[in-house]
Amino acid sequence: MQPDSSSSRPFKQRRTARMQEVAEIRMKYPNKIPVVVERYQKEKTLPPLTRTKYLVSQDLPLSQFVVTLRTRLYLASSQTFYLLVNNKGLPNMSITMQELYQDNQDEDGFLYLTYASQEMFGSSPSINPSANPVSLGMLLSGP
Amino acid sequence: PAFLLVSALCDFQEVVVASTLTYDTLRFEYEEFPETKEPVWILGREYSVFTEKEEILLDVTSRLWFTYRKNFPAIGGTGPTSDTGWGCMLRCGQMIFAQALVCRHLGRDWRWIKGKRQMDNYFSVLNAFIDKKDSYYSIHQIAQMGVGEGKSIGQWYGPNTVAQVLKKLAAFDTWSSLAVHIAMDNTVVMEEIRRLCQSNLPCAGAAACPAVEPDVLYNGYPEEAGVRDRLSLWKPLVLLIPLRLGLTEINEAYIETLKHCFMMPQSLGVIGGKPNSAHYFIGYVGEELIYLDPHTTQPAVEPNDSGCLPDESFHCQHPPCRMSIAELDPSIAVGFFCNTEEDFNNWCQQIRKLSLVRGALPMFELVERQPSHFSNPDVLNLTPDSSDADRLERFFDSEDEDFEILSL
Repeated sequence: MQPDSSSSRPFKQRRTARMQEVAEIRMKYPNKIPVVVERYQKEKTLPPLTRTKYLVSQDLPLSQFVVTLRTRLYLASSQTFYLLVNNKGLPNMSITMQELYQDNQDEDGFLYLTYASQEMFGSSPSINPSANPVSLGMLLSGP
Repeated sequence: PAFLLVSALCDFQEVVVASTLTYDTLRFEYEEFPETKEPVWILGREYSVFTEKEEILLDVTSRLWFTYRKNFPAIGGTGPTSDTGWGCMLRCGQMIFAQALVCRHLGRDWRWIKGKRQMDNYFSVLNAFIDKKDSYYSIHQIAQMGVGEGKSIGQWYGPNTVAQVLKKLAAFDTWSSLAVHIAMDNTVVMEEIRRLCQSNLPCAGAAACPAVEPDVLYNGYPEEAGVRDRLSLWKPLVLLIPLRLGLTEINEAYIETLKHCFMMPQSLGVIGGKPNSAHYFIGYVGEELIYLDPHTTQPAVEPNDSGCLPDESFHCQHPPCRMSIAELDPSIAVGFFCNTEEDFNNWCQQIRKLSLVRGALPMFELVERQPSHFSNPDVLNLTPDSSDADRLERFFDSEDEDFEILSL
């Protein structure tokens, strides 16, 4: 198992020869899409993924990819999990990875996806939920 | 005339400091609506600032306004007696759900007029939210039901957290008999909603639902039997859609779509806020959102000696707050109420039309049914049960350098 890469610098900053990496992997797996999935830097609820880089079938619907990631993170169906493309938009879940890639691939050849849940709202710092390890444990085990 | 305009904001501090604290000076905190030709939209109703200012304020005042309260019975017997500092999203959840109950029991056209005697249904709605342990949707019930969502009492909620809790609490409210659907993964599946609203489970016993006698309900109506049955089984729908419209700030491509949500007759508004401060958004004018703010601590209210509930503090009697749409925190939940199946079909039509509007990026997708792999486990050998983790290992079956290769 790899060390938790989500807590370190973003993939783009960590890796320099990304274009070459994509070229090599695309030659070896021409029908797969190279995807980088990272946790939002300020995410407090969702756990990190152990992997950052994925090769995904081009005709896989995005919704299926989301189900796969949700299952990997042991999320209950009532928990929010948003996959934002290029840190901006919520893509249509019914399109394929190929379609998502065509419109949103980075100039280095990767498709960048960031996952996040929702922010919590409150103003009194004494009961800040993010500091409570008990709630995280309950969350991971689900209701 | 006593209200400040935007241009006079620089004098604001001095005015407040120089004034003694009376009801009139409190009103200085709130700006009146800008004189603008832009329409004002409040929960699906369009108003003109020039000709309908009174009507706008009456509509806003008629919404149930839930704020922080103090000195209520301790939550769980020994817990907090005030929600100041932590309850703002819980209060916003109460406000959007109260609007659903108002639509259900009183109608969108119902208005609250100060001092005027209200009908019994109004007090039944209000009672469902009063700060005591046995009200259907009290802060006590929400905070305690939240424990099941991983939130201890006093912790902050997000829009989805409070939506999930309200859905659970609604199951006990047989008086309202609502179908509450929360659309996850920014996808609204029509088939799921129809199945939920047409389910007659709570009415399975004849005694529990004596009104579903075709002769009684439909006497004189010429509908066919099939249509009759469908109509009689449609439960009023509360549809909540939790979203994240950006990471640190709202992606401006969603702003037009968000505005359209307030223009639909089914609109229940939006719960969300500015970072750390939850608000209940009920409409917009120009590039500003109009909202009710729970961040005022009022003393808890109890019925008086004659059994009447003093209700003035549950209505916002000053002009509502406004803020720039661009300041909206991206984490929100959008709400809609569809009393009948026809309302729901009409809502679907509007959403489809909206997806064709140029410059309005859809915030969520509307699909007829769940993609086949969700409903048919054979296709991809993936079902939402506890053995998923084992099966997944087969999907991540090979590796190439650092890549994980999905064999799907």
